[in-house]
Amino acid sequence: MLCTEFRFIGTVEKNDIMTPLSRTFNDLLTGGKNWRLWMALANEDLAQRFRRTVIGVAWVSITFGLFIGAKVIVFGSIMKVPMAEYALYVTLGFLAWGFIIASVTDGCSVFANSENWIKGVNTPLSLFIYQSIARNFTMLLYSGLAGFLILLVMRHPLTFKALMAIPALAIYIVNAMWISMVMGVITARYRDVLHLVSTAMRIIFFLTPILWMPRQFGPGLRKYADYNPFTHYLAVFRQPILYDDFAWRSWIIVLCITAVGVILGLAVFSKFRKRIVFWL
Amino acid sequence: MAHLRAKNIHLSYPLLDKVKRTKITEVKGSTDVGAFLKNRHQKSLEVVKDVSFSLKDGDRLAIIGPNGAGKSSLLNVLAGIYEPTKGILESEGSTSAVFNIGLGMRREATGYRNIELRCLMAGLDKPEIARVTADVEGFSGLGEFLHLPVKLYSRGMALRLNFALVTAMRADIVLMDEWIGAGDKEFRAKVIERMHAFVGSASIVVLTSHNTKLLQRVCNHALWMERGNVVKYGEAFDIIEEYQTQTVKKA
Repeated sequence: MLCTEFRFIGTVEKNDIMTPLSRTFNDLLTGGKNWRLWMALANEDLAQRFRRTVIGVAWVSITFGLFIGAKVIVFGSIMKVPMAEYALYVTLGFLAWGFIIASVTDGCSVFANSENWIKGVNTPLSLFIYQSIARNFTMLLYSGLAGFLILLVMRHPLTFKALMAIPALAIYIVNAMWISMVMGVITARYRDVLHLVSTAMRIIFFLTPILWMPRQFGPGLRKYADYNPFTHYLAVFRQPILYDDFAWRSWIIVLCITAVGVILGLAVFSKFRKRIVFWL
Repeated sequence: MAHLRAKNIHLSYPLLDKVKRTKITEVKGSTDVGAFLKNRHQKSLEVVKDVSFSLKDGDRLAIIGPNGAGKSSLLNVLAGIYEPTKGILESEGSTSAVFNIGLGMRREATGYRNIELRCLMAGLDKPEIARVTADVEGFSGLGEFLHLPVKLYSRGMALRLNFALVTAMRADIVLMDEWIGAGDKEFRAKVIERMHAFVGSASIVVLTSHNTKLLQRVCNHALWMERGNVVKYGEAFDIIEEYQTQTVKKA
């Protein structure tokens, strides 16, 4: 028997009438519509990661909980803040950071990792971006479960302002989209970028106020932290829950970066979308 | 009404530092900065040049030519995987492409899960997925094995699943790189019959093969390619005949 693969092309495609940008929107739209597929693929990724384990995806929650516990015990004694506050600070910071770092690194490898599908099936490329985001968001929810338990144990009072964390998560997803559209394309062409970025992200982790609080340090470091965009990305999620603070200033910065990023993402993706398949 | 029209299609394949990278970086694991800088000026290879044809319901197109003629590249363009560098491709109708192995199967997932994923990839809805699943169950004869991960299948079993799945999905336009064949003895007759039903139910078929007899029997149009160029396009029987005499002469 020789071969057997199939693929499906969808319906009418007239490539003379569509501009690159409208093709990008078409890609994003048709990819999004097939949510059952990208959800299934994301679930399959997670199932594969925890295959033959007894507790499965619950490992994500357990790992997160233990990790936070260890960090709080080690670093909490150095920090001159109440242990409860520090524990929540680290929990929320890590929760957000976990999704951010996964979005950036998986965003890089999003097309490179789906080489088989992309070369074999005529499918919207955005499908793989949605798959990657769905997978990382599911991981975030499982970590969040542990995070929520920590909140409960610490008896942290929540106000309605804490709901601002929800639009913060929404904006994270939008950012994961454009990051994947930019970095996925660049990495497909230049594979070194993945390693460069994952190294950079490990360094940025220490430069971003996740384990440390800017107010504990001198004005120099505080000023620096303010220049770090990740500080503000974390703030829009962490501040409303922890300090009953809308973090307006951070929101404005985050929205500006997002707007620029979305434009950049659409531009890069439109320009190079049809070339990606040749680079894989 | 399905149709498939190509107007002056060109396809250039960018030549990256691919060859050198595979040889030096990936195998030896050393860095390769010199080659990287040298290859920055991209070259490209034109693999399909100025191909035009127009197919309507009932048409069967054979693409013939020696290895490296651009047949598979052209099929990839028709399948929508490569966008043509120049030219216009118009197609109407659902399209299914039957290409080489190694795509799409999740080895860790069960047979049933793989059926579902492929159906979703093909954009089928729930009742259609149920129909395809039942069809695959019936034809493949894999029974309880469909509950097991595909990585536990023997090669023959995996091929049965693949074949049953591919042919369970009906499409208006079918693109094939080589005719799908055989299996074990008792299965072979069933396969041939099913293959004919599958191809017969499509309105348009584009097929490449080195089996010229088969092509003459199945196809009504033929496109003869060499080094990306169209040598001849027209009535299948005569063109294939001419192609054959020419290859015999060369040999």
